[in-house]
Amino acid sequence: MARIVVVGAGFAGHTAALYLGHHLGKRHEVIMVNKYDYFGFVPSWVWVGTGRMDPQKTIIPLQPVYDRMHVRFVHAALTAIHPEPEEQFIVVEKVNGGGQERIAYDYLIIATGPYLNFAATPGLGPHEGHTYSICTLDHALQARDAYLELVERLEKGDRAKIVIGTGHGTATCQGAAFEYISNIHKDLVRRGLRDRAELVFFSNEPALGDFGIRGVTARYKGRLVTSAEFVEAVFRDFGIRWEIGRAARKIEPGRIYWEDMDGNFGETTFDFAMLVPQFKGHGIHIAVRGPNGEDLHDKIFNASGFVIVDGIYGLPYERLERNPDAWPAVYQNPWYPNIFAAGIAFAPPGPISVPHTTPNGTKIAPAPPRTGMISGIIGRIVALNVIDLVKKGRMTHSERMTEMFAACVASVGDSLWDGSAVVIVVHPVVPDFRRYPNEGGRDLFVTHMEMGLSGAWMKFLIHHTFMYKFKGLPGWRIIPE
Amino acid sequence: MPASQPQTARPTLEITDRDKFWMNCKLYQLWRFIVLNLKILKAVDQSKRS
Repeated sequence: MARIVVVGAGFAGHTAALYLGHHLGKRHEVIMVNKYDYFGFVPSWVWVGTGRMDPQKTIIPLQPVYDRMHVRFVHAALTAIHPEPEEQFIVVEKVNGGGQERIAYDYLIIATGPYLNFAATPGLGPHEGHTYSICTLDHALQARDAYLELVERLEKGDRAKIVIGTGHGTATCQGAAFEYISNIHKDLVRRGLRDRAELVFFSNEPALGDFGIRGVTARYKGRLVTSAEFVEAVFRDFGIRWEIGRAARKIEPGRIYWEDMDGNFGETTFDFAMLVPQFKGHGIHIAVRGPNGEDLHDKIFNASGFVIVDGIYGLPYERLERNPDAWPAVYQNPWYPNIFAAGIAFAPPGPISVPHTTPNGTKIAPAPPRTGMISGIIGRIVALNVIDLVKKGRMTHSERMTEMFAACVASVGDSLWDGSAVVIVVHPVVPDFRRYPNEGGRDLFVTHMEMGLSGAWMKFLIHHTFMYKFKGLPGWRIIPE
Repeated sequence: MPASQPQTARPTLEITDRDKFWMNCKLYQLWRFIVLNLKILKAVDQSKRS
């Protein structure tokens, strides 16, 4: 009997646990370790953050799902890995003071998501800083409360400046910031308060619509259009101003201190700001030890705490962008073949967007997004390979981000009657200039951008079908990641 | 690259009133919804076979 341990119940880990439980749960032992006892549907937290969705509609208690799927749930956080063949166990710290537990494994899937590194930008974040975040449910609720307080002030006749975007030169998730500012715009229009608020999109992207994937080029209105042109058109229509190519250096109450790509320094003021922090991997605070206590951290995690997998690391960007095979295919650690990573936890071989260093040495380079659909797909690939290894002894699945398809639906309001959404479909996520020798390095038949009511329906459909899928209810497997 | 309000070299893309009409035309959007879903399902099917 094999014992498979999954750490992290986000999109990647929870997807992996569902597949593992379905295929192996009755004959083998599948264990999920997660520090929260619920799954959170992150894409809908933009609606929680504007007060348009009840937070209870975005979470699923994990225990009943795992009981049904034959998965043992351990409510705990991973603190150490002992990966050498003679040991192979993890140490977890139980939540609510339950003490430590050793859990032996035959296969370990690390899907711990991002560590929100607010500390990289002094003054950033809702706990010790002056900005808000929608990266966790607690953060989204704090952002909602602050936003609704601001709305009350606007209703009394005040004016305000709202800044939404990224809070570090190497932050990612610009798509979430785009969606949040679009929803705030729509909410203020609905309340008749839009003319009292100045909206500013503040981002580290080299161009609008870059989204950390080097932008998108697709056919729109009979010609090839870049996502920069498309998002510019949307922002002009919404009256949203943008400040891009900027790395937030420090936040003080009501003020962002930034550096731009030319090395100029400046300030942007705000009354309310939601800025996404830099993401690191949780590996920065997980110990990796050998049988004699030796430090093996470098064999599993890189310096940023992400799991080293089967990618080609260390290539300069000019070579990386021309080598689609540099991106990992099976997300397997090269030192310990029974350790896999999924979702944000795996270390990408480099950025997708063109990186930039300012004359002052500051890196302004959006990190590759590995959230949502990408995480789910990687979770499935890893789970199916572990199932293969248990049943057949060899892996049969692979999908690099240079082969992967992704759809991003960024809502503008939540109404099914007059709402809207920007739908961006990309294939592949990471441009492959060998296979698609065009300007964008992508399949121009599949890659697509549009905006309209159908996108709002799509977003509604995604929320409800995914919540159904993640509950592991009958037929969950036919719903794609 | 300038940090704010950059201008693209191509003709400026605008969302016109005509665009907005089609963006909220229920019948046309139903058609777009079907097309988008088919497009996504085709790509997902390709992914599922990897």
